[in-house]
Amino acid sequence: MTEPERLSGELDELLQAERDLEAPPPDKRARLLARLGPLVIPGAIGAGVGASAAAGAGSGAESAATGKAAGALGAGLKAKLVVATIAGAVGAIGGAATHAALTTPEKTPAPAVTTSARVVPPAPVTIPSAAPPAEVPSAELALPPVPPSALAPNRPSGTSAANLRAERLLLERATTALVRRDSASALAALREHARKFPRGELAEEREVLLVRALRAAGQSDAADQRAKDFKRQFPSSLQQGTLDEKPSSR
Amino acid sequence: MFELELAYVWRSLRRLGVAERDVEDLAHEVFLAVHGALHQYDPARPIRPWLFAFCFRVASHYRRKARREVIDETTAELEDFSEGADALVDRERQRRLVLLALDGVDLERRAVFVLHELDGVACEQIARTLEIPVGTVYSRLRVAREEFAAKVKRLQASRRAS
Repeated sequence: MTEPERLSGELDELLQAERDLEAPPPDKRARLLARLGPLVIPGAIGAGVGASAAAGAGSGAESAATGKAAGALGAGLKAKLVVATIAGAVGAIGGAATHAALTTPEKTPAPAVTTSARVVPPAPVTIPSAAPPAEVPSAELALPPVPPSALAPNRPSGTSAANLRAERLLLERATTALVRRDSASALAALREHARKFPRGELAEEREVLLVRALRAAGQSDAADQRAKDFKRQFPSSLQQGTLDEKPSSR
Repeated sequence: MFELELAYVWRSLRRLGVAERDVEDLAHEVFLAVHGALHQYDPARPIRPWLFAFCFRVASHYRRKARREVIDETTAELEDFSEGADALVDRERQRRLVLLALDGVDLERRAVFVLHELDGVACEQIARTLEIPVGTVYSRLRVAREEFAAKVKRLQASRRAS
């Protein structure tokens, strides 16, 4: 049996509105993060995630102590898991990778679905500030050369929620563009991220996406170089293994 | 992960037919389950299809247990796309139409459709995610597209008529 023909252009266009959808309303997002925050901090690092994230757990505990629910996920832990997330999303484009643990949901019984279930008592809601991101010193993204100093694993502390949101939106834009196979737009979003947030909270994620985008754009040499630099700069990254995946058609 | 993937889980639950008012609680359920299984996750593999499998299970339970009225209310909520459409942003109207049309697709086929058409996941990967043969993915996708297209057509026709 062969894969069905692609969806008609008209329907595909209709679906685009849903593909472009961003996040849930800010208040609901913040409330849910607050509910999840206390759960995640103490034992978030599973054995399978690896010791590489251990440092993140430490910073997570520190963050929790500040009582900032939205920022309670340890920066290191969050960053590493987010890298997995983004690269996973992009990796799904070609379906090149097979998830060895995809049977997990079958092995792990889903909790009974009751809308009143509460494992963690709701924590105070912290809604990210609506203020625009603070100005960040600009630094042009060098493509393909990577200035190693710009990729320091140590993240600046005290990154504001607004900055993080702005970073996230840029990376989501890049991810969406890659899903659409629009490597030019993805690279543009990543360049913008590098210019505004050269050492941002999500710089590691940006570099992973950049490798993907360069590969998608057919710039294999630049992608290889970037991947090599990434491995040197982020030796404990959870995405080390995915950087060599070649894009394939879906 | 929670911060960035919250939007994905949220969207997936909505696309799988969970009412807006229940999404927050079900997303919470999903992340609790994910948290419990995180040690089994292979970080070298894409995480979104893995997350989607949790969403699918939670949404399946929800759809089975939810009272019929809840599903009907969800449909009614989305049908706003045809009422006062001029006042809505065009893309929001399109989104409502998409969700409403998805309601015309059986949940198992709907999962395949959402993963492939909205998340861009390859059929082979979907087969592994949902643990079904790839041929089944193809056939479900084909039927889902037909159902989706037919529902869109009907909705657009009824909108024009009104």
